[in-house]
Amino acid sequence: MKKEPPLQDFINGDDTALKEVYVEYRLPFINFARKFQLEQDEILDIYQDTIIAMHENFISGKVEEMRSSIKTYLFSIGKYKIYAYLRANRKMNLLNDKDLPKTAAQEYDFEINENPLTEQQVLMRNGLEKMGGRCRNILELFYYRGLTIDEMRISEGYENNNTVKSQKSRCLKKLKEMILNPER
Amino acid sequence: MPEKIEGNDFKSGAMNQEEFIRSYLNSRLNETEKVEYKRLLATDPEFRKEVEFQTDLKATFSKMTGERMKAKLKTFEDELAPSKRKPYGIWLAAASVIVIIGVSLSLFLNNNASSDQLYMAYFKPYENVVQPITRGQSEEASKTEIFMAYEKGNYEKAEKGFQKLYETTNETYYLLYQANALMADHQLKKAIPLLEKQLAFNDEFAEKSRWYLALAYLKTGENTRAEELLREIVNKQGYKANAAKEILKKFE
Repeated sequence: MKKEPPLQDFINGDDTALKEVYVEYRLPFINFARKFQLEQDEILDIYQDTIIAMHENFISGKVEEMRSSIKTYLFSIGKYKIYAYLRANRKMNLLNDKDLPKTAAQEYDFEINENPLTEQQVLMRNGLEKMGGRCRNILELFYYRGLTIDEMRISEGYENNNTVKSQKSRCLKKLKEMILNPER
Repeated sequence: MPEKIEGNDFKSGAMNQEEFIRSYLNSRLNETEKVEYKRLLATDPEFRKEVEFQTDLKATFSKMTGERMKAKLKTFEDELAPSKRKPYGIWLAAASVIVIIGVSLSLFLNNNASSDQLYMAYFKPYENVVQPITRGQSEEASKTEIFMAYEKGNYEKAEKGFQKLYETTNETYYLLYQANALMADHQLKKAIPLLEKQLAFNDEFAEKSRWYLALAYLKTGENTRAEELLREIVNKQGYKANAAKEILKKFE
């Protein structure tokens, strides 16, 4: 059996793994999506969003364990994305209605990424972009990637857990200040 | 995983409450914990404020990560297919040169031919066998004009024309010509469904459609489907059976 690209590296945001995943399923996905009479550019756009959605789902813990191959999972997300695209672009007549999934299962629910940021989130984003990389990184690991203090100490090479905790608190405080005083 | 949370104990330290909420957002709470989470959300304004903060922060990071990934994926795509438009042109130019000069196809076939090269070597727009190009009657004029555009290589005009002709006459061979015009104009993705449709009519033009569909699949990298069709062509001893046999040999 063919070896799958390294999933953990992909989840951790490693570019090489991302590329590996992208290349590995690209052609099969294009062939799969073609039956919906989509243009190449549309297919590639959907494919890229599908990979991003899969990544997001791994991060949010929506996939506890992979009960299928990466490919199967990726394609099931892709299918939803294609339907959503066809719906949005009024190409639905091309589809047989009974093939359509009525509601999305939790692990296929990936709307977060597509909603525009709220006002509060924009302030957060500006703050994060302005703060130092190390601070942003520590907040990302904790609040987004969901690493534990132990995991953060190991992955970031901190001396001990207390250093991690105080660093995180400092960065969080800084972010909150930046949100309150966005002009500074 | 965050440290075990029992009942309300996590409230004893800010850290625990933070992790409790984070665990909820990462779908890591068990059913009992979820009940507790909902209760706190409904009753404790401080708790709710923290939930809102973390939810926003997570969504913000998610957006930033998504955008970063999208940019990366686009770069990968550019590396994979820098070709998208331009090299198609080169490829088509090469194809016409081959057809025009009549260089022996075997030149390509003796090497390890890729599907691309095979397509390049074999694709030649299906000739006009329908409409003699003469100055004819007025009702035939637009048809003549469209076929003339096709023969002259004005594929964009021809493609639109064939589409209209098909819509007005329902003659299935227009699908074949429309597909050919698209293929010559390097729009294989659009040509494939037309050929599939023509093929399904199973009429006298179907064997031509089968051949062009096989070539289109070759070009788009769907070698398995191409192979299936080529075998069918060989078995039926239909249009281009010898050429199909040659290509199949290259697969072996």
